[in-house]
Amino acid sequence: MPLDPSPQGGSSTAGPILELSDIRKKFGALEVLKGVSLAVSPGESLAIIGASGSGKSTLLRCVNLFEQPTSGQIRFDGRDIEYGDDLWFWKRERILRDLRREVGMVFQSYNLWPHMTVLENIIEAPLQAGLGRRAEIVGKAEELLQKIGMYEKRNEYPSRLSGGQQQRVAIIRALAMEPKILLLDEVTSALDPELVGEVLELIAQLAAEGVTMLVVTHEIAFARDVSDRTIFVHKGVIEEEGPSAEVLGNPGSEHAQRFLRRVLHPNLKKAAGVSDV
Amino acid sequence: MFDVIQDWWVVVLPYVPLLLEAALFVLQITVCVVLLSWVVGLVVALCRASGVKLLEWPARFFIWFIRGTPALVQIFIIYFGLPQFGIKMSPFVAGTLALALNGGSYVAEIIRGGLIGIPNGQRESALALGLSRATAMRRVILPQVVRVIIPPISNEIASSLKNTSLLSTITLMELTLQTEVIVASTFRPFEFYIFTALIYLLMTTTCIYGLQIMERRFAVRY
Repeated sequence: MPLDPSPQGGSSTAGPILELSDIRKKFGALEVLKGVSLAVSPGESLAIIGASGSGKSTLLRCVNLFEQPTSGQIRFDGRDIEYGDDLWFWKRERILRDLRREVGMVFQSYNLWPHMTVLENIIEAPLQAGLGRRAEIVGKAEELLQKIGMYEKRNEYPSRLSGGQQQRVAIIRALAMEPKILLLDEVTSALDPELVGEVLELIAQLAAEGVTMLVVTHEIAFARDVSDRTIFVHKGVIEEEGPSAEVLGNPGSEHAQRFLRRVLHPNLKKAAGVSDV
Repeated sequence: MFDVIQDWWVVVLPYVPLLLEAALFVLQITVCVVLLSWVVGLVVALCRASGVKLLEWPARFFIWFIRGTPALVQIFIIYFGLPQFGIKMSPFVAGTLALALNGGSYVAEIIRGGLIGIPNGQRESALALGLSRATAMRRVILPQVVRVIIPPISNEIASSLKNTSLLSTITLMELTLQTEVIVASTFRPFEFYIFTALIYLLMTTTCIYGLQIMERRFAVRY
């Protein structure tokens, strides 16, 4: 995997698609993020690792403003994103909606909508956003389904699918909005071990196609083999940052070393199973 | 006792058309009450769950007040009380409104229970895809709520139907008052009240079973 980000991710602006500066987040007295800055270039895939409670998920959720940072700057696609309680309600709603239409997010627990078929799940958001005529949107959704080999399942309800299939549908549901960046929040953590591979393969394929992504993961092998860069978060601070091979192979910080020892050992088998991604 | 049952039909039969007409009126009132109570219930439930204090507290107060006071007193407040402030309504309008507000508070709690039962991830995934909060509610959350609340809602409809008998107190000639009037001239309370009870029973049973059949039709394709 080349270390420099591939240029094919589609953004008009030069420079980073996403830039966080000095993001802080407090929950009451507890400061979960203590001044985090990072930049993601178009086409780049960035892995965020760290122990549970380190703040990595909160960091991800700050990007689409599921969590409102206490302070700090979010720059996305060349514009500063306003947030804060002082914004007028409707303006705030519009900012959030517009941001989230361009920032995809996939969750640990898939969260497909059980009352809609696979296809309906995928086309709902693009239809609501008015991304095109219905026929176009359906056509694109079917293409995406074909890409993950699930076209035949388009009229099934999610409950009829395996966890791995549901999560892959959740990923292309997010892609159907043509997001400029995709946030993946521990998307394989809820899966049975034998289903993890198919989901990681899809994400690896997307990374190779130049989809910009920010991936919170426990899969060290995935971070090593797929992500261009890796960030290690410890107690709300980025302790390590750099090319994945370096951060994971030869981390400088003691916390990162200890974390990797702890994580790699019990995961050896799982990691071996997916190293052919 | 035997005599009573023997000439039961002889006594009741002449009044059956009148009673059925009153029963039809009961159904009309019930339809109005139920539809209106759904609107009230949905609005109150959404306010209650909005997380906005300015909406949440009036909704809480409304539910607290309605559920803690007798429906009959609520009807009297609206029909006899409001005219003091120049708000005069026909018995039908006042009665329908009172019962709809009453039913609405129960519907609101049923809907709220349904909302609580939907995992938060459903809402989050909708918002994450750029759906507005209103669209997420309308397209993702409420369709799932509807399926779980059909059984309690059908009970609530039966309650509303029975509660229409309270409107006999504000001169609305529905089934109960009609029966009272007939009893006053025939002096046969037992026969007529039993017959009227059977009409109510038929209507509530039909409504509950009808909804159960509907539930089986619509529910759980997924």
